[in-house]
Amino acid sequence: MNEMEINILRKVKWILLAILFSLSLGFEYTRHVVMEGRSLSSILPSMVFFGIIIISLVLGTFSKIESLMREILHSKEELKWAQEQWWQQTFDSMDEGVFISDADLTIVRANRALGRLLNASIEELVGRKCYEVVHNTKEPIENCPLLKSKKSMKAEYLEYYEPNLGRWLSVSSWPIMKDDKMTGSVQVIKDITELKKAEESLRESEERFRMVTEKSLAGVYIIQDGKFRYVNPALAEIFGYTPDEIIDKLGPLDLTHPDDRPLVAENIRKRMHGEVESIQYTFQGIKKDGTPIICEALGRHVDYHGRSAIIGTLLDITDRKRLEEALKSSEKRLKTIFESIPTGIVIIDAESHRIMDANPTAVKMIDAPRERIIGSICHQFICPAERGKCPITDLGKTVDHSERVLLKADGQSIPILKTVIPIVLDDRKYLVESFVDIEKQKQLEESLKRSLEELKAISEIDRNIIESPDLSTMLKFIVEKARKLTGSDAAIYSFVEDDVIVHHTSVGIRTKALEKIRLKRGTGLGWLAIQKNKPIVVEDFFTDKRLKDAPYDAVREEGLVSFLAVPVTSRGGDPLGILYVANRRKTKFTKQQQRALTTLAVQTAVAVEHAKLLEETKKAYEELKSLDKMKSNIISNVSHELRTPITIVKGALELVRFEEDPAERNRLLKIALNALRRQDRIVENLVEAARMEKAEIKLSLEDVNLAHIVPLVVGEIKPILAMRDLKIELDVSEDLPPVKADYEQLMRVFRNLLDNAVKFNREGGRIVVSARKRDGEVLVCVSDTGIGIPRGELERVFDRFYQVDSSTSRPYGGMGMGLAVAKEIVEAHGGRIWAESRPGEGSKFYFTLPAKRS
Amino acid sequence: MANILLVDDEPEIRFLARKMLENAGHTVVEAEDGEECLELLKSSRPDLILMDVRMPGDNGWEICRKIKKNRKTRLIPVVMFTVRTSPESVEKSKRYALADGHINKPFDKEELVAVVEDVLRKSKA
Repeated sequence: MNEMEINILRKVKWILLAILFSLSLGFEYTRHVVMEGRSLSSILPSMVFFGIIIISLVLGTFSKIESLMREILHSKEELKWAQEQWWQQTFDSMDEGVFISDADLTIVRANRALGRLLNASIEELVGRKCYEVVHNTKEPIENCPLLKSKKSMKAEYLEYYEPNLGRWLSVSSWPIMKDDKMTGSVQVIKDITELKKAEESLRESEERFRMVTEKSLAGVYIIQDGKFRYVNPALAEIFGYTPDEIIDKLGPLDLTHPDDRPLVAENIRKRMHGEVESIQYTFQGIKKDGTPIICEALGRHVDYHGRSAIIGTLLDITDRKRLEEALKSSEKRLKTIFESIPTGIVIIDAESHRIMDANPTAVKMIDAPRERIIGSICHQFICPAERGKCPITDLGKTVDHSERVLLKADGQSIPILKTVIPIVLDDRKYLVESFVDIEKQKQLEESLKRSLEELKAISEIDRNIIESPDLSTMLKFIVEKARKLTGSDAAIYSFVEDDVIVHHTSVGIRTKALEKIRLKRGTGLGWLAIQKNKPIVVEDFFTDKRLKDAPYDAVREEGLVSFLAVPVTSRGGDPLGILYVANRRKTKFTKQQQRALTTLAVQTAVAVEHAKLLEETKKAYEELKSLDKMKSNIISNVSHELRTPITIVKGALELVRFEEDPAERNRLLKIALNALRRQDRIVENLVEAARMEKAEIKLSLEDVNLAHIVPLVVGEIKPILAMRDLKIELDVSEDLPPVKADYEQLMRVFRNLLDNAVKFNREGGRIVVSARKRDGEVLVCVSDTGIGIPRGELERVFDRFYQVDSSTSRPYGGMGMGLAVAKEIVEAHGGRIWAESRPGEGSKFYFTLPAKRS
Repeated sequence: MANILLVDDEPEIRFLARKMLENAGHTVVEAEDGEECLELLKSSRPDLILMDVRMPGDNGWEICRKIKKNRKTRLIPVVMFTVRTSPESVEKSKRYALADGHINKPFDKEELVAVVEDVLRKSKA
């Protein structure tokens, strides 16, 4: 009961009063006036009275009611206040800020929590517009739940961030309804900042989890009841499935290679039963398409939805395994290189200058145990630089392929060529020093120099071949080079002559023993080299089993022990000679020496062949020259020969003029005639010789009887025979068969032979012409008793250009032409011609002609 | 009148030269070659030697030189008698063989006698 009710009661009182009053008046009126007909005025007093009674009755009653009500109301209000107090207290004790507003959004009531929340006292809040105090705005905010609930007539909720307060708030509005009309509302404002934060972090961690699991490259799984309850996409992908194909459908054993199923099953069991918390292990999995893969799983026992489960990660380490293998082999390769490279390599920690590693070459060069080297500080140990003066780390210099010094363990320093490369490995600086022993370099240079010397020697030989055509000079030069190039005690060149090797030229030799050696084919070192056709190295000449019948005595006498022999062969492969080098002490000739000598041998072959060629050319040139000389001699001879008969003719005719004795005149004329005939013969022979030189003799063959032809020719020379007091005998048998011959040419042969016999006979000498049959041919001989022909000249008298030097003596062949012409003719007939002679006793000229077969 | 030794291997030449010299009043002794000439000189001393160059055995120049190098015979005048007409041959006769004269073949009777007598005159002077 409240004031309003009282007011209502009051209104009800008055209404009731009016109604009762009207009703009583109406009743009185109706009864008296209508029914009784009485006038209004007559009844007025009773009516007034009646009215008063009613009014007093009603008023009295109502007053009583009212007072009662008031009393009730009062007691009610007291109760209400108490109630109010209770409310307020309750209100205030709430954690949430609560206020009650009226329909106009004015705060009518607020609790302390709200005051605390908004930093204001309750008095400051009540009576003000709620948006003013809560949002500090002049208008309600856009999605004000209070306004919303006013519209929807339902409770509304809003969470929002209040920038004024810097906090997250939640606002709940409950409308206060009266007669379906909202008269106000109750707002509960909560500070949800912490909640929000928690929510945010939850969301974040959820997100993170999602990220981790969904995006993870590692497979993530939850196994329960033998099935996968969860797998992330990565895991599904590892096995070639989609997550949906696995989750709740497949179990871990479905993805395991049959071989490894017992292992996996056992591992799962152990964790499910809590025997172990977690296991990390590798097993062979199997993909959807059957491809085997290597998996590494790490899983632990967890409670999932209140029951035992395993959560874990899984990696496909197939590639890693392969990579590991590849890395291992590449590392092995690098290691091998490091270990076997002939360059010294030392790895030094750039900060501490401690040697971290050294390869065997470096260890060998430093010459200390590896354990002593590793861990030592490089300064003053392998490098002469002092601490703090390292060119690389301290002075900022670079060492690149420069000549340095390496300290050995014994303090000795050796020259090296060094390169230092600073590297960074795992954020640590190192120096990689690589170096080579320059001694070797120097050796290399030395060998290069030697090669150059070889080259020089070769070119010198080449030049010498051109410049010195004399073989002996050349070979002397070659053996000297051979000795110098090989650095040996002695060098020898021997030449091959038919089946024997003979000493030719040598240097560094003390005795004459070697010069006498004549190696027969198949014996000694020389023939061995020729037979093998390659350089032969003999360390000890006296014990080498390969040598047969070697000239041990001569070599011992000379004092040589070790040999290197290289055959000198012509371009056609014929052995020309042997080039030897030898030492007096026992040594083994090196490959390089062999190479040098082989090169020289090739040059020697060229030189020898060249010289031989030159000799031949020289010989041919000399022949040509002598031929030319012969030609001029022939001219001189011819003129001489021609002039002699002219002299005779001239002298004879001159004397004839003054001669009176007819017999003497006749004699002189005969002399002149003979001289002319002689001249004719000379001219004829000359012409014939020239003709024969150009073409073959043309023979017109007929049967010729020698018994007939010989006296004819002899008859021609009778006067000369008489003049020289020569006797001639003919011994031509009558039964001699005729020969097939050219008559004129055969006459010429006889004439020339007889001329010759006359010319070289002594005065009073004898000439014999004989002819006889012999083995199907006719043998003719013209012999004289002249001065004869020296043995060595017998062959040459038939030479067309033959003559002994005409300036010193008369040629035996006269002009040379006569016998040469005779030879040509006889040979054209198919016969032979030759001479036999005993100097001082005479000469015999023979020729044969084929006899005519009868 | 002189005694002349004629050395030539050609009998015809010897015959003709002898005739010419004899016609001029000289006496002639013949030799066939250098060897015979030297042999003759051992036993006789001619007034002049007429010698061919081209002969079997040692040639005329060599023989002449021997004669001229021999103390016993070096004063005997020698005339070379040759068909070698080149200036070199004439020079060789004088310088090498140390001959006193030179006659070319073919020769005239007059020339032969004139040269021989000229050399004889000079040698006597």
